[in-house]
Amino acid sequence: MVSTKKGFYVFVHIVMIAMVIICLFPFLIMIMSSVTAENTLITNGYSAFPEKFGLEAFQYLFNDPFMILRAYSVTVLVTVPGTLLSLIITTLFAYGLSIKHLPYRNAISFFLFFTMLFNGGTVPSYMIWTQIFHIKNTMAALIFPRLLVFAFYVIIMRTYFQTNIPEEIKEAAQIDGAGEFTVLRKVILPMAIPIIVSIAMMVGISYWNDWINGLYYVTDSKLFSIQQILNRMIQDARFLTTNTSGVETLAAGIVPNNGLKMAMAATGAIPIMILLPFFQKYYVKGLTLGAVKG
Amino acid sequence: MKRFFAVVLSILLMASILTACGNSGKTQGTQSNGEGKESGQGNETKQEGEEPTKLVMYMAAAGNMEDAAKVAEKVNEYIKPLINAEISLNYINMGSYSEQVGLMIRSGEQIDVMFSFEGDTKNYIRQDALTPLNDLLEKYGSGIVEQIGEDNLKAAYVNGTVYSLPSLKDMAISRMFVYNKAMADAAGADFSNVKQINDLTDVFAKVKAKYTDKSMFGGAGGNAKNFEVWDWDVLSDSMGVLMNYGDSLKVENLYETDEYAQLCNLMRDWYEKGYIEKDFATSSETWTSRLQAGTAFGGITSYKPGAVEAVEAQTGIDCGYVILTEALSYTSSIVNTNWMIPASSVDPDKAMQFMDLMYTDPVVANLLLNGIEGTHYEENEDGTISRIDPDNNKYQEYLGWAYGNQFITKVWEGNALDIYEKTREFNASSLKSKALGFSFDNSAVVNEITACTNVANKYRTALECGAVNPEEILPKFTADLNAAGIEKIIKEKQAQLDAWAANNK
Amino acid sequence: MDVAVSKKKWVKIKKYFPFYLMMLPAVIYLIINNYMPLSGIILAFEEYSVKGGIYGSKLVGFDNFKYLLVTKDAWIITRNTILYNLAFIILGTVFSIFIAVMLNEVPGKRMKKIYQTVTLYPYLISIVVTAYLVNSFLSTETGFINKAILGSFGVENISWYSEPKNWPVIIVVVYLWKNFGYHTILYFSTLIGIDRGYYEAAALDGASRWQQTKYISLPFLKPTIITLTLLSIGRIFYSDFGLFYQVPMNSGALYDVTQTIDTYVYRGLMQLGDIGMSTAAGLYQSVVGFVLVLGANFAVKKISADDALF
Repeated sequence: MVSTKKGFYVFVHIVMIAMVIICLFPFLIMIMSSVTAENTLITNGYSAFPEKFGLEAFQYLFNDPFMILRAYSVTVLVTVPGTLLSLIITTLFAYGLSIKHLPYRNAISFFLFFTMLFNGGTVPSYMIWTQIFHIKNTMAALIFPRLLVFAFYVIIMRTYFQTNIPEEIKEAAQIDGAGEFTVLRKVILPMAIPIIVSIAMMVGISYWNDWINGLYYVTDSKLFSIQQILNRMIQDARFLTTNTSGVETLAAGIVPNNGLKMAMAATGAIPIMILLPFFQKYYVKGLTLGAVKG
Repeated sequence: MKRFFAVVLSILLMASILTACGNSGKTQGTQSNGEGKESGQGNETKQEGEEPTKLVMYMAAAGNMEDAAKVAEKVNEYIKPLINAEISLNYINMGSYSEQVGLMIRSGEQIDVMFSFEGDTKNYIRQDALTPLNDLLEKYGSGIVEQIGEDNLKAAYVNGTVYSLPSLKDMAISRMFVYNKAMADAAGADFSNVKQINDLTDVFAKVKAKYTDKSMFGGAGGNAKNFEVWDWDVLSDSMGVLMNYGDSLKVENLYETDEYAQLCNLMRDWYEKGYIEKDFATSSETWTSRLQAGTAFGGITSYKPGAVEAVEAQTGIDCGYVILTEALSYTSSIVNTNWMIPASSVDPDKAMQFMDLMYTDPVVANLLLNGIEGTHYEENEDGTISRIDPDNNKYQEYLGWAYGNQFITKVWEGNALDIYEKTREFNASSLKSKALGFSFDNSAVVNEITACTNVANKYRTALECGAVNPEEILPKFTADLNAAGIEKIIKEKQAQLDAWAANNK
Repeated sequence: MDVAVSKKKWVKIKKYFPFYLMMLPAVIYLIINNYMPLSGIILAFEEYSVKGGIYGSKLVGFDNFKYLLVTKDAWIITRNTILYNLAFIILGTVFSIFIAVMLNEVPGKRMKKIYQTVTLYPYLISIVVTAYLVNSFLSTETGFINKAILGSFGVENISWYSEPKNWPVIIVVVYLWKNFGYHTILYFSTLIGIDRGYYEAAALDGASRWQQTKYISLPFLKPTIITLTLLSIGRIFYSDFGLFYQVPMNSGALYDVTQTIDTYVYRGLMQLGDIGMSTAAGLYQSVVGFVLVLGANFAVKKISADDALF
């Protein structure tokens, strides 16, 4: 009995460690490539074990540190408010949808789900956001279109509310005379911390990584996020290889080289890799709360 | 329940329709010529009024353009007394330009003066997104016509209407092989007998013998196919071309010609001998970076006066070159970059006046292409100019050659002072395809084009960089093309070409 | 009778009013962001002209759909899209649940924390950068696999980007690598929400870990599994563009196994820029997914009504 228990834990650890290696190895390549000398990159391609180190890529990037700093602040100023706003709206919506006998519940669920499947296309959306709401070249353009409410997350949250929050708890609170908002705030939310944190992480990541809103709605380089800069760089590199207007030689002076692409990618990914573990704190909190609940 | 479903659906439908009505009012307002985005005012109020018209310009850029607003100020100082208009200069990086500007123009956003690459221009014309320029050219654009030349301007006509103005640059295509001189000398390579691409084989053999681990020419695969030797008129999309420098009006299927098969066999031979890198098809390295890193002997690119010097300046490698095809002018080579006035312009008259300045006035042209003298560039003793503080320069327009008229601007250092005359000569002395001036309208065959484009994408790169055996794959390629309807495209093209030729005797 | 009924209705609405209030912001946003542009779907039936605008261009019936259905490639792109999505759904679900269950078994909060964070890392990199990283493995001359692995075993270099037969596996592996963390998180948060009491009671009754998993964890996960699967079915005609275009480095030789509806539309329309045709493609994908989800949801309703999407 004891040996199987230990054997099981060994198994678990092996699986987890294998997973960690598989997940992290490509990151290693990315980071190592960003500090490899460019010539070596061209000869040897990306590698986790560079032949020669070279900080040219980062030198070029941070040549104008102000630009990078500004890009970071754009990213943060979009991600934080966007995520908070999204969380609030999404949670409220999901909770409402989870109420068992809510009239017209099915119709509203359908209303929600329909948005996941059908969309009118880029041009109509663009026209609405720019001509009715005038968000072109504003921070709002990076927060509101496409990303604020994901039907997917609403549905996941709703499922969680339905599964993990027993009716009795709600009824008990209501008997005590609490209004619905109070019930939500004082009773439900603390129990839903794991899912809220999960969704927060994912919404945060989608805001952090998004560059499509910027591509459509922003032409002012002062409003470029980190990912926006990275992706425009990559588009330039690709453009030079597919365009036959003779652009190749003549604009090649500013081809983003390989090291630069990786350096840019690292610049975008590393902050969030560092921040992610801090979210885990709240996960653990949810764990303890769950245990005490019984 | 069912009743409510119906109610919900009708509310949603109403919301959509209300939006539709609201929007169509707005879009129609912006679509018709000369009406503004916000207020739908006509031209009349703006022309005589004291207020200068506010124009909007969009152009692709390839470097840091943060000082665009500063330059715009200087431009406006100069042009306001001349045409009573002010312009805002907006730059988008070249890789995202097509997509972002395409979105703007299709949604009817105000743009008055706009740059575009050929492929997009055709689509804009087909979708009625551009203002016809015939009358405007007569009224305000005579300088432009003079600069471009009547013959070249013909290339921009589509069924008698001209929608776009070509940029003045090298307008003929001549392919050359650029190589690392030091490597060539060390290997004893002799280029004197090289008249066309086949002749390179012997040279490569010699060089490869000395440098066994280097490739002979580098480059990125994808769709660039920059090893191509274009001695045919692509007739805008390579689906049906005029072979042999366009000296006849017979449209042929390029991929079934002997010449194409020979080219594929040649590439295959080179691939197997190690002259072409095995990763060519999927690589994203440009040949200039490979040249600079020393992993490739050279690359194939287009010739123009000053091109080789530019490569040398950029890579720091001493280069030699040998011409592989004669210079050929055809419609696509002339209009591959051009300028236009979208239908959403608030004042096409003023827009044309501005473009006239851009094409004829050195002050405006120099500001647009090079920036502000003293801030972004300075004049050298020999009359050329050079960039001030290149690493931190905030007006790095590397696409200066794509503007209306670079020929009236100052010459960058490293180039001979007469480079523009040389370019004009290069253009004038080139061969001219018989179809010069013909523009193919593909609206009748869009489905076939879609299908054939997919087939071409599937096979061309692999075949043209020698990664697959042409004996097996080329027949498959042509068979798939035929199944996708290339014959229909060719027939349509031939019919249009014949009609055009008859009208243009 | 009337008075009684309307009073009841009024009481009902008053009771549920706070909930409607909660749902209002999201509904407003969805109307603006999703429903208002929806009328643009008419583009699928038009030959778009900027002069006419979205609502005034010439109607051309189903012409814009022809290129998708009449072409020889229609079967291949449809087959690829569906098969890959099925593989993703099945393998993705199994793999994510497995890791989530493993995660739940890890002793010690700190290790749990570390492992859980790491599972999300692949999700952080953009697919384009992932494509470059995959290239660092599969490049013919400089790739890790050819140089380091095959080289040391004396096996000849494989030209990965020219041989279609390996790619179904490669694509599935890359997809799983990038996305498993995303689903694992969702399953895991459900798992840790399960009252420990259940497990303790089961252990007391002599249940093995496997039995505990089978009879406690999995049933608790059922609603989430069903929800995620239903949602995936709705998007079964869609594909991750980056995965099928960037990762294979746009290599023509691989088209037969990597061309999906989305990449076909993109490649075909790149030259044409025809938004009528691209909207038609989107509509086609939406309608098929919609019909399939309606069917699947209906089936689920019959089995366990609570878990249905709507």
